[in-house]
Amino acid sequence: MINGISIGIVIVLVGIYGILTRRNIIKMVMSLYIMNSGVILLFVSIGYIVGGQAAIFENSKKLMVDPLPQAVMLTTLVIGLGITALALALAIKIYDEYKTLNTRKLLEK
Amino acid sequence: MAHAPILIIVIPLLAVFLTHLTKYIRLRRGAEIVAVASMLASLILLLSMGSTIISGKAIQYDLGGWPAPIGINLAVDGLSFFFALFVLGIGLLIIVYSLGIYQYARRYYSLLLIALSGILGIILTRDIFNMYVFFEILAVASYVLITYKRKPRAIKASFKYLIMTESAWVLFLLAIAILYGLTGTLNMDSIASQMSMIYQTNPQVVYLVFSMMMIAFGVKCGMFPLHTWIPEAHSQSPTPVSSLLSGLILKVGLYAMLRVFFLFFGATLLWQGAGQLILYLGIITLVLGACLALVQDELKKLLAYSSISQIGFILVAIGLSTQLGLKGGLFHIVNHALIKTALFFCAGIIISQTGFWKISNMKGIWRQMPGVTFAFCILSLAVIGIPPSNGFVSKMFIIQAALTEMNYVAIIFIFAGILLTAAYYFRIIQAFFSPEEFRHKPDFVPQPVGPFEHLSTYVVAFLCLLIGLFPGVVANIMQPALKVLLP
Amino acid sequence: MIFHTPLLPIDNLSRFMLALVAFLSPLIFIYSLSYVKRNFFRYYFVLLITFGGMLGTVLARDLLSFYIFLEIMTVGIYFLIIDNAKKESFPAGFKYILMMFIGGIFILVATLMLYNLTGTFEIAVIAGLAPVLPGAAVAFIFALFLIGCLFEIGAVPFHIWLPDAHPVAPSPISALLSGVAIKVGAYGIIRMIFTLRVFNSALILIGVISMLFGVVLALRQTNVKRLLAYHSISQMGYVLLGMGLGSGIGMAGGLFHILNHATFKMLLFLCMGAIIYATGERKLERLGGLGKRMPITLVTFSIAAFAISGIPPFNGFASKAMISEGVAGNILLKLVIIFTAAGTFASFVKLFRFTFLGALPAKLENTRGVPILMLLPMLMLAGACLGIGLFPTQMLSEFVAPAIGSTMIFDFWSINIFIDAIWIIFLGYGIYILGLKTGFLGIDKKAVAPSFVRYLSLDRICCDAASVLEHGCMGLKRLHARNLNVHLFWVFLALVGLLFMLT
Repeated sequence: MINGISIGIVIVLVGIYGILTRRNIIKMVMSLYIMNSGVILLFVSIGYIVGGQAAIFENSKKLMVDPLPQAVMLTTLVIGLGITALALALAIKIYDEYKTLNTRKLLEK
Repeated sequence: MAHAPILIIVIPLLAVFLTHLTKYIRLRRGAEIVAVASMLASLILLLSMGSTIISGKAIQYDLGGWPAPIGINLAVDGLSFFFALFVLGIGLLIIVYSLGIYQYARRYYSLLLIALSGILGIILTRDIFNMYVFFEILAVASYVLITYKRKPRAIKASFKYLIMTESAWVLFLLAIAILYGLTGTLNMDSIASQMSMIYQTNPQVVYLVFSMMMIAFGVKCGMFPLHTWIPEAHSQSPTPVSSLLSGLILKVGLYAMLRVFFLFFGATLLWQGAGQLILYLGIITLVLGACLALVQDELKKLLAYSSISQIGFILVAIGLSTQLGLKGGLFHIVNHALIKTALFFCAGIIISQTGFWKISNMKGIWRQMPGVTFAFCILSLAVIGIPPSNGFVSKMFIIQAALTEMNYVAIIFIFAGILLTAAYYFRIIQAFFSPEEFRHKPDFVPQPVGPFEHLSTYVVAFLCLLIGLFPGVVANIMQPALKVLLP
Repeated sequence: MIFHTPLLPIDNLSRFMLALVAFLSPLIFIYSLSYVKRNFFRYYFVLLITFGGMLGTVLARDLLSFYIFLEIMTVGIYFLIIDNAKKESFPAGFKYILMMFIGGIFILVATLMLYNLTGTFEIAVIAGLAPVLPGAAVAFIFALFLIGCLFEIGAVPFHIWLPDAHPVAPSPISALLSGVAIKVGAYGIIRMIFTLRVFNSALILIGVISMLFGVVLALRQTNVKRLLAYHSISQMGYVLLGMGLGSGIGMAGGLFHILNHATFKMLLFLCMGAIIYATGERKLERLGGLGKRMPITLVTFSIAAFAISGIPPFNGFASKAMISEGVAGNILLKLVIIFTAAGTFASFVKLFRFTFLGALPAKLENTRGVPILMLLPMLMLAGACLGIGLFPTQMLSEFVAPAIGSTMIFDFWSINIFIDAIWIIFLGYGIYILGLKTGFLGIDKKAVAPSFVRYLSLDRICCDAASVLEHGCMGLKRLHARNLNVHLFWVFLALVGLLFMLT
């Protein structure tokens, strides 16, 4: 059934496919970020309760969705941001030094 | 003091900011002073807890007063104390080594402190997501540190390290997600207590979580198919960073493996099969690392492959999962961290003095650098496992553990591993003692090597012999650690 | 805890070996004072460490200490072997240290297995427990320990390091190696034989093969130190034969031969060292006619040559007589002993003739004299050879027999022994003449080695195996360097593999 968890897994798999088959470094970084996003979606969906309320209000009468994954995923988002920024910076540096972004050509240099 | 665990982690982090602020104080070498001071402070705090730990009790600390399983827990028990002690010791050594190299500036020390506080965080925490966060902190710092000298190959190596670690780490996050979904908590002790129940109802999920975590920690520690980032990363980075990588980061991956596996999966039946798996992977790592080291010409790359091989030894010891095997494994973790750190220091001194990094160009060095060559000889003998060095004691425990288990396959491959280790280290020693006169490159200026670098190398070489002659001290500190792992 | 090594009290066997090590090693120090010309600090530092290792080995009361000091000694000798730092020192030293490590690991594994079986490392306690241990396990452990010690001794088929290590090492170190370091391995075997009471006919077999192998190959050598190295293999074969016989006479003979071999082999190496020091030449074809220039060396060399061949009244005959008595009744072994002794005499006649007699080559016209510090140890050793040879009964009763815990009397001066000696002299001289005529002795380079000998050479087999290994590893290295996608593929493949293996 289609819920956040299964879509999350599909996105992770897409990311894995991307990182395994793409030869362009930038595409690899993108796949990495896709994998990260997939896991974030998965984690948040785990805490989801159908019909629950967003975890912002106090004193609510309805059931709240689990706030822990949301807090945790904020942290993960920021970490993913940092890592991706670093990876892209390294990719730029690699292009400066080697003039290519292809992993096969980088192997020979 | 009550807040000691969190202070141990936070003081280096604060020191990061302080090192950048020293720009305005006009204190010469202010950054170094701040770095050393913060490490010493953490060390003292850790040692103050020492007496409680060795007597067997653990110290718990709840962040912000929120009790587990709601809040994040830090705890110092035997295993954490043991690891934190040698991490701080070796971290201090690395900083001392870097003191002698003048081009390292505030940026370097702040990054190093970030990495060290990340390592301490991993060791002291009891919340699995917290461990993930600290691992990422460590990882970011190490990616930047590898490329500190802006060498092109270093950038390529760092990128490879980044992609490999991060993709495996996504798997780790996935495992955390699955565990959270099943248990509703992120606290390691709570998850462990529910694990056996989960295993009864749903063993496949436990297998999935186990393999994902093993891949994640395997990349960090250098298990067989996941070790390919290590040679380039360790050889292209600047010397103190190589020691950091080889001596500490590999070991912290092993710590995570030990903690997570023995805590989570020790109670379940999974452990029997998993232990064998780790054993065989360890054997392959051991032999593969040694074989590849045999044919390397670059000195630092050879030391990196040697690291992989020794991690294989430790994995074999962990895989044996007996009291004796874990004793040997933990002892070898400490020994190898010390020895490999000092070996990289020696290599760094030699490379900065000669300008070459291939062994075939380093012939006959012993006339110019007798002290460093002598230290290198002692350290290589320690890695191979010759008495009376500390490497011999740990190897003896591991061989004895394998014999007690009657695991003859392991014995034969350990045998082969020790021989191959001896072969490639003696190849280097032969090159150093070669009668050919050593010639610099024509326009090379040797960088000045100060007393700090020599001091750190000789201190560790001496320490190796000392620990080898009196292993009881380390064994006493290891006892509480072993009790944690195998109660 | 681990290194609780109760070194005292020492029993008679340790006392025997200790006397050997402690009296002979200082002679090496004295000799080195003149012989060694460079790198004093490094040389003496390592020599002292080696000396300490050797002392520790013979004094150790438990097997773990024995192993520890053995390895310390091995590492020390490695650094001494490569002290000359010539081009061929390094492969020889490399071979030495690798084979010593293999032997060491065998000994370590045997020690740890024994610990698992008995719960202790101490030899005395193990001896007490030996009768109640399961026989198969004990035999297996003894086999492992034996193989390890055979590596240390240099017996066939583990002898590969010996003929390469001796020529490249400085002469005092060759003397130390052949005289003392090898004996430590024999000491280990003797300890275990007493402790575990296992007598193996394998020892006799290996002993016989070593004796014949050493003697036959020694006859062909032209490098003087290599010739002496092959003789070391042969003489240690005698010791193994004596120990394998199992009777009191055999053991006492083997032990006595350890002492005798130490003295005369050390003397031989020191004489050759004197010759090398004076002339700078190691090959027989470039030496000759040194008898007039170096009379003291000539006399001491002759004493040692007679001793090694087993001619009374020099010390070799005593131990050989005891071993011959031990094999009495076994015609085959007796023939082997006679043939080996004769061959030994033949190669020393060859050595004597081509070194001291004959014409002095032009290059050696101005050979230097030998310093007194080198002559002194040689004279002392020659005196020891003579002394032990003249009073063998006293040596036996006071020294050798208590070491194996028995009291025995042997008639050293019977007529049979003199008859044997005369046989040895005649046969030896005959072999020498035969060898000279057929060119087997290699002096004139007339005979060619049959190709199958080269094929069977163990040295070649090991070196070829090593190069196969190296090519394999280089192939692995090429396999390893792939692009990033492949490495990531391995990561995920590992995940799938793990999952597959767990379920």
